[in-house]
Amino acid sequence: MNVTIRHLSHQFAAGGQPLPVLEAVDLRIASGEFVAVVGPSGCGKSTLLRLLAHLLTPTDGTIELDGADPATAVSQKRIAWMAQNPALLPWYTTRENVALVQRINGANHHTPEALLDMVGLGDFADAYPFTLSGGMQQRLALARVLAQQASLWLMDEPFAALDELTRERLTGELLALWRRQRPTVLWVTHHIVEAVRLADRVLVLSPRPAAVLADVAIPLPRPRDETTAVFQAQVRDIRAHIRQPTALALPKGLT
Amino acid sequence: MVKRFFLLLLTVLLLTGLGACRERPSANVAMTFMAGFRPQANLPFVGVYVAQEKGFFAAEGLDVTIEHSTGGGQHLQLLTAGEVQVTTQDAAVLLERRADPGLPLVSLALIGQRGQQAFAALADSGLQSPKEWEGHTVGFKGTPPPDLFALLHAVGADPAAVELVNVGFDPRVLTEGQVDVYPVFKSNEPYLLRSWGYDLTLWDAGDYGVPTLGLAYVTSESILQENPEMLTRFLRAAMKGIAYAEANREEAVDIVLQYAGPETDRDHMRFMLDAELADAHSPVTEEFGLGWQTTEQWQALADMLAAYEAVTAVSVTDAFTNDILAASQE
Amino acid sequence: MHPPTQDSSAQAQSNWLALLIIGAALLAWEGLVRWRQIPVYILPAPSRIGQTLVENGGLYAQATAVTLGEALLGLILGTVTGAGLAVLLSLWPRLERGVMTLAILAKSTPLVAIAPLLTIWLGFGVLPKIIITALLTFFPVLVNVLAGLQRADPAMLDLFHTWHSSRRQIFRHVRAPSALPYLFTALKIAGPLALIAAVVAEWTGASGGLGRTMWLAYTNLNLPYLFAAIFILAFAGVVLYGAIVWLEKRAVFWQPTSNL
Repeated sequence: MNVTIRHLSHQFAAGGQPLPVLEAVDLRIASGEFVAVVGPSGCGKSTLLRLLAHLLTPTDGTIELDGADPATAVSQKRIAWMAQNPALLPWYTTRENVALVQRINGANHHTPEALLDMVGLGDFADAYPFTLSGGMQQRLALARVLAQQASLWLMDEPFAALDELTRERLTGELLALWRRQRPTVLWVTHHIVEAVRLADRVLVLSPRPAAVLADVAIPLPRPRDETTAVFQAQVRDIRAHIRQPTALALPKGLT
Repeated sequence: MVKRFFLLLLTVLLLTGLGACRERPSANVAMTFMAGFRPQANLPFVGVYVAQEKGFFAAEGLDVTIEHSTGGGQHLQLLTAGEVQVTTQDAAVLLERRADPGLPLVSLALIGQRGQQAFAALADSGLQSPKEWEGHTVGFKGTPPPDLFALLHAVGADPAAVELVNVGFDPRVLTEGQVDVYPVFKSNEPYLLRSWGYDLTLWDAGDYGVPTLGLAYVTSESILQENPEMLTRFLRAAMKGIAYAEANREEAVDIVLQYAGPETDRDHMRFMLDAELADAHSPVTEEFGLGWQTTEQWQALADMLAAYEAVTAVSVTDAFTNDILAASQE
Repeated sequence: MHPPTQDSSAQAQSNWLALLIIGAALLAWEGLVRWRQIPVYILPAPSRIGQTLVENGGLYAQATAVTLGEALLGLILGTVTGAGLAVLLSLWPRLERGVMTLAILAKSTPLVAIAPLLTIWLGFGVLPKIIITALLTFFPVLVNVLAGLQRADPAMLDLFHTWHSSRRQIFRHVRAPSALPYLFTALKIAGPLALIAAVVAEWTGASGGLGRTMWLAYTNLNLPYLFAAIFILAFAGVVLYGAIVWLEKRAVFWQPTSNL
């Protein structure tokens, strides 16, 4: 799914005073691209994803997903959502959680067990989510995403609550699974290293209201080695953009 | 094929059922009697219990359901709503309710020719005459009864010098000393208090010339008009029950206990029965039979109530009738 | 499978402790009555109450069955009504204010006003008692279940929206299960309340049941009988509450629940 965002702005009405969260974002993402979005906390990254998922309606600007608006994309069940809170249904087993998505979405390409195998939860099909560790819960959330066969994955820091080792392993597995379906991915994260490891492009957003400060391409072949000089150069490059916002977009209130 | 068979079966069953139903009505008239309080040996209740157990109602072709009110006036409500055909009520309260809120109550038979209301004090208190109540506390249940004021007036006591306290039903307030004088029903609380080991001094308003009347069988004006036949049969059976109880007191108590349950003391019930039987007789009943009521009796009560502002002046002619009683005696 | 709460030996310990405390209280009561020579019509001793219970086992068993039956049927009716209304209001929020006002009115009307009306319409049997019990128990269920339905996890709701779920699917898979713990909270209140309601309903006129026994006993100032009925009621309340907790553990298996 290709994504075209034109002049996208959004503000919340926070107790009478309008709170601008996104400021004139322009963006084009090609189908199958893995795009990381980094920026300070509260800058509006999540809002951007929510607008794409049609959980919010923008106050200004347009979003086109394969030429149609987000509402259409959602009704066609082409969008997969994964957040830090996996929102697993605790009253269903692991298998039932996956089967439920398939039932609602009408996607039956794999059996629930096969999907669980893909994320390494094959032995836990009859377990209930509250018995799973944090990492395993996110694997289950990932299995649900896979079940949808969606063409756009919107992922809002899904592994942020996990420890570093688990995060590393899971992101590696995510990449492998991404390669099988090749959806477009928008991946919000705080970790610049992780962003460089995963993405084709890294978008740097300014503090609120968010505007795109930089759009850095990562042309390195995968799997990427953090210890290489090229990798570290990219990381430095992105860090520099965060410290010194270029004239590309000057955030309001910062001079 | 199977469906049709079951449909046929159902129809046959329905018809037989309807046929069976149709046969019942002419045999027995169904009615409900509600006692004005819990099951105990109040004489009108006893008449009904005995009539039920000894088959007097059945002999009159009546199918009587016996219920008991919890004492909140529910029985009068149900009577006027037509859910209950006959109930019992204290004569004074009957007049009060006819005046306000204007319930169309009619007394069919005045079983209690004298009221059971009295006042009790512990014998140790040394109180001899109601005149000595001045400067003491006197309890009342609900509202201060007019016969209290009539009594004080009769002995020349000053009501203002008497402290009145609303006590509700709990004779323990007397034994624990919270009041000096407590309102009782002669047939009821004195027995309890004596069984607890207390000696009592009792004052009956009637002894001081204050008119009191007891319990009556009560119906509503509309039921009286629509169904005098049923009421006659009822009263005949109930009065027969009272007569039987008078002649067979122990057996009557046995019957009462069937309704009153093991929580009730047998000797207490016997005491109550004896006390109420004693007050069922008067010069009026000697001449005309148990339950007979005169205009003089009712008017005297109404006048007393009016004098002490319990009711506005009310005519008693519509409050009672001897017609049903007379018909039942034939 | 169940999230761990207390292990079984700790639970057994707390049970023994409870029995010990109750036993001690009863002993103290017995001692007080004997030492102070309190008359039986003021406060009967537990031994006398126990004696009354044993001697009248059949009577009390029957009365308990009647009252328990009224309470349970009323509780079921009240729960179904309350939960049903809650579902209604969660689907059509605009009805909330109107329905809630009526509900509060129904709940607040004193029993003495309603009971005779019900007797007139429904007769002298158990039906008015069941209705009264339902009237008293539906409100906590309504309020709690509605809260549960409305407080579904927003993260779950987000997810279901991205799946383009229908309202019915969201209700079935998210809202209804979310409301289940709230339902049991309500039942913990409504259960014992149903017992009290059945007894109070019987006080307004009944031909059987513990409420009637209590009323007869009190008007005879026969306190051993009265207290025996009260003991049974208390015990029944504890058993009922325990049953609800047991049910909750099974129904809301994904959450750790308290043992009391």
